[in-house]
Amino acid sequence: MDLLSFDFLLFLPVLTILYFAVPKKCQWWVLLAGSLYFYGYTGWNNLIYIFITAGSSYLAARGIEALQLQHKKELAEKKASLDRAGRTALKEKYQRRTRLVLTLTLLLNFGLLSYFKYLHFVIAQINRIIAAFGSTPFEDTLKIIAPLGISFFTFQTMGYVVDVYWKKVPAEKNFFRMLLFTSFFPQVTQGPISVWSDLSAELFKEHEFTYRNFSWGAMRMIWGFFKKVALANALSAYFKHLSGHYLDYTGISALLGAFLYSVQIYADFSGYMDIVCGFCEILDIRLTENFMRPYFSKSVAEYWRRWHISLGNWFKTYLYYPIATAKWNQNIGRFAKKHFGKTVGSTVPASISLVVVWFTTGLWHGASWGYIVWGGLNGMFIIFSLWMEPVYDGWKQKLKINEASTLWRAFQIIRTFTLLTLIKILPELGGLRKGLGLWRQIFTNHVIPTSFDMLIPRASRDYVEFTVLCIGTLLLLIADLIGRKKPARQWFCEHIPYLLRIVLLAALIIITVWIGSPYLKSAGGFMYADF
Amino acid sequence: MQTFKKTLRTIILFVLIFTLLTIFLFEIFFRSEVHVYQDIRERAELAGTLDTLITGASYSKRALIPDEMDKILGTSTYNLSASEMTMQGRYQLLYEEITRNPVKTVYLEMSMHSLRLKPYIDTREGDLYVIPRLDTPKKRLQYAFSAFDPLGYGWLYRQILIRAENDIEAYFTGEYTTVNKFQQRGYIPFVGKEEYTKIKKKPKEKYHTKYLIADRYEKNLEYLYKIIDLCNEYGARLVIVSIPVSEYAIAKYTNIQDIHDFYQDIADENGVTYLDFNLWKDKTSFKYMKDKYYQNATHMGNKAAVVFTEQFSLIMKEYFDGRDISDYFYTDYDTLCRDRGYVNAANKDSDAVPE
Repeated sequence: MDLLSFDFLLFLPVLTILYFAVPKKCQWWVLLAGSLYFYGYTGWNNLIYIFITAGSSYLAARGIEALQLQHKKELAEKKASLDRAGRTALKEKYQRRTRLVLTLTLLLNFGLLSYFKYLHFVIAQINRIIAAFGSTPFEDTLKIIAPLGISFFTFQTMGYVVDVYWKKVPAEKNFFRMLLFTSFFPQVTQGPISVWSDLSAELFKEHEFTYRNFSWGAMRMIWGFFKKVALANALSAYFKHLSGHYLDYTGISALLGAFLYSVQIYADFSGYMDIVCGFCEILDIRLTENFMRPYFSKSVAEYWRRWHISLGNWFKTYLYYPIATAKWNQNIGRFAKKHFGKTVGSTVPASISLVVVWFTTGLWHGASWGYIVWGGLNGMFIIFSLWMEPVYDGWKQKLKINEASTLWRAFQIIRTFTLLTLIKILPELGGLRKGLGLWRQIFTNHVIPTSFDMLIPRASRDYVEFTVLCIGTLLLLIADLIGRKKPARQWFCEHIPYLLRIVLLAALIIITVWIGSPYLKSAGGFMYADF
Repeated sequence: MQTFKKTLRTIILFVLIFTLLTIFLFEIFFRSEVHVYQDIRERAELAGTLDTLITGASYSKRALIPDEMDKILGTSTYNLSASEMTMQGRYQLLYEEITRNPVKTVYLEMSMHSLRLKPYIDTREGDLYVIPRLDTPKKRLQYAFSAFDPLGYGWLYRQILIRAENDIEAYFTGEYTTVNKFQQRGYIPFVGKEEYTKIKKKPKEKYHTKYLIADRYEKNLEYLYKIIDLCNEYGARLVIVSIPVSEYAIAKYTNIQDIHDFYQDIADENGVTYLDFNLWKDKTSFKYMKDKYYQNATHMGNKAAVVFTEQFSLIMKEYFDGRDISDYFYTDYDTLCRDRGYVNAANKDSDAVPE
């Protein structure tokens, strides 16, 4: 079901009423029914993949836990008769078995994900190599349509299986609870990618309807719809225009267009988060937050701690740390320390881990060289900063830069935003070549635009719309600025009288329909739903 | 209970304020007359005096000039036609005027597309133009709810907001006016662009290259019959009219005759007159409706409208006087195409593509 459809707007109140009408112990059953209906709405066949993922994760977790318990039991039974070597052998025996279950589950689920997301890309690369040798490439006639949200629910459930393997959480005994964890509709299409301990605690507790939850949740949803429908959708037309005609514009115009894209993608993704988190708040469920004013970050590394937080945490927990702390990586670190000094020795394992993480992050976002390069650049800047940190500190001391000063922080924020914007647009123009073409335009075409139309692509088509978009962007910025001290909604409730709040929110809906509705079809759905 | 009451109070207040804001914005649109289809005031002023009404889509809006007709026929005519007009819209506006005027004659314009507009999808634009022409909020709401389905409400809401925005913009740029400067009893000349230049396609080249998918939607037919019943109820003489389109548009369709026959059958079944002016022969001083008189394939320019209205009125005068006017028309489209030299033997009907 599309979040921006009339059907969804009907679905929400019906589900809310049912949810609070049933006995509290049964509330999660309503969520499960709603989630399956939501996901199956566009085709019940799609549910197959949800069932495969939920089923395999459920069985794997139960199997792993059973093996772990069996190991414990056997160890207790044979404690007296086993020496240290025997205990190690027993441990290794069970470790082999649990690892096998885990590996098979990961292979099945990531295999499915890879099939849907990467097969075309792999075939294209093979064909490229074959063509280079002068042979006839394969004909790629496969018609693969990836199930909605497969990247998100696969990561979420695999995180759960690994957590069970690491004994961080017990295996869930009720399959339907697992099914809800996999298919929970507000997050199944675009996350956040929650961990079992957080989400299950929220989903399976008893929920109370409160006025505060209702009003705060509704406010957040309205704000989210405004961000997505009015801001992101309308801005998408600007970027589409720019990507098709960037050669017609000067460098400064292309850069401004790229900045607009940064606003668009933030409004799109955070708008989605506001809609789903707002709705969950009405249901008395707290979802993991995905954004923390990311465009106020002072470095690329900080940005990635504040943008798509749940994905970053997933990679950190399940990829970065395991690689960084792996024995082989530590050995490389020790070797580097011995030969190149302490600084290099301590940064090498982290850098190796970061290379893997960013290559995977790039691939996760899309099967293209554009995204791989995008991931590589992000990783490169983070690793470079890591290595250069002592040098930067020296420079700052020499230049007597006060790191706490507003001016320096503003410089850092603008620098990071510009850098990230340039990286962001690289895969978004429909190919790496085009992305690099836009870069060339930005850095080499220094002609001063002669008219406003030439300065901001497409803006002159509708000045009223453009003015509203500028005000909307400003509001986005202000909301984030307020959010540094307290939630913007709290500020809104404290400073704006009740009646005026309602008037402003009603006006926001009208503006949302007025500005955004023409772009509902052309802008497509949510951008992150494609990832 | 307290929580529930508080929530309910907020929801009701929100809906109320949202509605009031919406009404405020809609009223800007409804009250202004900068749009060419805003003719409530003119019709209200003429109420009780009109004896002839024209209801149809842009074909008739651009072709029939009431003032010119009245000079020849001695009538008091109003042209209710509007762009993209739906069958429901034709009926609704006719109902508005027939119930408050001593109407003797109704011209119902029917084109090759009139019954083909898919209800709730293709009819949105036309139905939007009807709403501000209704004089009370109740009528507007009733019409909106019957002409639009829930999926169309958002579209309608947005379209009205855009038009309100245009009015506000016009107010600030000094272009806002409440004087109806466009219309002459509903007739709106197609002016502004250079005439003659639009159509360059030759009828013979395009002869029978297309066919119209002749879907006739139930809802449209229902309103056609309602119009016939309405005229019968109020004792008004109904003349179904097809306004001439360009030569190119006539020549290109393989099945234009089927559409003509369909209208003719309905007219015969219900005892009303059907005059297809596409079959109008070149017997007048006006040398048929040459393409150069068209702004596009189906709409006349102002020059053509002046001449056509005169000839149309003269023919109608003869008809109302009881004279036989059949000589003014070809019997069918085949004859017309042969006579005009449109027939192109190289174009086979079986190769025609749908439109």
